Amino acid sequence: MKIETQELENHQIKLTVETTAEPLDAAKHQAARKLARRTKIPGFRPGKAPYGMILRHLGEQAILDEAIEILVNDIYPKALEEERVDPYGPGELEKIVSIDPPKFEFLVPLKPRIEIGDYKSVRIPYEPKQIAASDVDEVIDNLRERQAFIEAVDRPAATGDILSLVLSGKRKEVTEGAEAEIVKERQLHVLVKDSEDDLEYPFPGFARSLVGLSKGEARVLEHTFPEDFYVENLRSAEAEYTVRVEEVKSHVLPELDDEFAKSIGEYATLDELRAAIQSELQEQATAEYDDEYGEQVLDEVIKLTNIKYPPQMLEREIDQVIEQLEERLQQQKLDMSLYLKSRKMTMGDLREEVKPVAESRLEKTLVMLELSEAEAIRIDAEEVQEETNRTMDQLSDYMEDRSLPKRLEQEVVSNVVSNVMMDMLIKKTMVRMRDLASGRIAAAEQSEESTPVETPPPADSTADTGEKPKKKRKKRNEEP
Amino acid sequence: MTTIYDVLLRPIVTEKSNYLNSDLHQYVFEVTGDSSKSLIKDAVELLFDVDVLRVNVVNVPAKRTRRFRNRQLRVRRSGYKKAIVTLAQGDTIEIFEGVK
Repeated sequence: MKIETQELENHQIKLTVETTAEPLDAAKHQAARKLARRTKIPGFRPGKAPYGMILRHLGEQAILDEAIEILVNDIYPKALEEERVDPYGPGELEKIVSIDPPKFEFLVPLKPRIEIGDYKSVRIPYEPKQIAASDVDEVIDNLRERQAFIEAVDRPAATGDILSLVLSGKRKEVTEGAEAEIVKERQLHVLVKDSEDDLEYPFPGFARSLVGLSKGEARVLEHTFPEDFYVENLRSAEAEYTVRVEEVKSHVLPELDDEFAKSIGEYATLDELRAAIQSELQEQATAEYDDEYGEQVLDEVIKLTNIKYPPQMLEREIDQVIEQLEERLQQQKLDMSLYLKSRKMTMGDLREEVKPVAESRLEKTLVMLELSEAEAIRIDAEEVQEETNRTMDQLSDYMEDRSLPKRLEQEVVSNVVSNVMMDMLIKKTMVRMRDLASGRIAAAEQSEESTPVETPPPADSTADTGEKPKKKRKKRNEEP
Repeated sequence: MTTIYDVLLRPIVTEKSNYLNSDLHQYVFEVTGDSSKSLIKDAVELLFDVDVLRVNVVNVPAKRTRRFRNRQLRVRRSGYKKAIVTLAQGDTIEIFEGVK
């Protein structure tokens, strides 16, 4: 077997493999036997005809095609091994150069190569948002608003009150063909407020003009609609609205005291409530900032990194992005063809569109994995177990409904495990990178020593993780 | 009338004949109904230039069968005469070549 290799620029390798005629002959016989099983040759039971008979019956070409496939399947792994090529995915038979002697050209995508630059030098100031007292006040105001009760009062309406009133409206000038009446007498509840907003009913600024009305009072309001009003037949109409107030209700907010704090939840004093809100907000803000910060750090690292991957990998990432899009569409009860139609696109256009997204996603994942390796980040078995248990519990209700075949179940389990491991790995790496970039490395160093390092990296451990959940499942079965 | 060239109608290539061929060195032909063993021997020796050791003859009986589409309709399949020719060691017949 003669092999020539030639590296291509898009991170693929071209293998030219030449063999002798004998393996081809053997493959031909094998192919004939395989084909004979499917073809009927008069005088013979399927699969029992001799080679010559099959050859005469099916023709040389059919057997040759099949034989080449068999031969290629045989040769390809051998060639890879001999040349020590580390492929990312299945190679492609690019060209059959000649049949006699058999000579083939393969295109093999290579595993991505990632050369990370000096990622430890990346420094970005870490400054999470601090929660101010005013933010806490806002939340508390919201809470009060929710607890507010409504009470009828006997005074002129002020901002913040709710008026229940009877409204009717008509046009001042009746043009032909248009009805004079705009609004028939009807009940309306209006919140009196300071501001104007465009979608107010019956016209913008209506609520503001109600200030000062008290119970039983009536008022006539005149309004000229603008030319570009959103209701077509009211454009530039002059209208007259009659308003009669039936009741003025005020919106009473609860007192801001310890009593209020108790009514919200298990807080003894107002200060306690404030503290709880503060810490929650802080946590939220920090988590948000952490995500953002991590992205920034990662972007910086990617800039330092030299990534090379074969086009097939990008294709697969695009597939994934599109798959996710499809899932989202399905949640909205849409399907792909409809979506494409509404955007006047073809599948090819869509692929082109998501390409940059997929590219950056792919790069991030690759860099992330490389970083986790460079930083020797390990996840330990117990954590995985715990996390998996949690996920499986969520899944289990769903799974028990259907009697899934056992094999499929196993598949789901190992899928979950590998997903969980991946997530954890990425999370840990992210934390590590944040610590590095924000200069908290010293602290991180210490914590790393305390975490046990015993699990092998996830890529090699798929075999034994497949067994772990089994044990767990048994245990669960024994419990009831 | 049949001449010596008309005796052999076709070679019979089936799983069974293939077995006879490879294991017992026998070749199977369909022959005309009025041919005799000696006539068959002469014909094979003349046409294929081989030595014939023995000729066995079978009259394959006609059989009734039914049409696949119309189950009622009965069809008679005509019978034929089959000759199994044993050749001398080392002789082969071209038509069966490759069938091994």
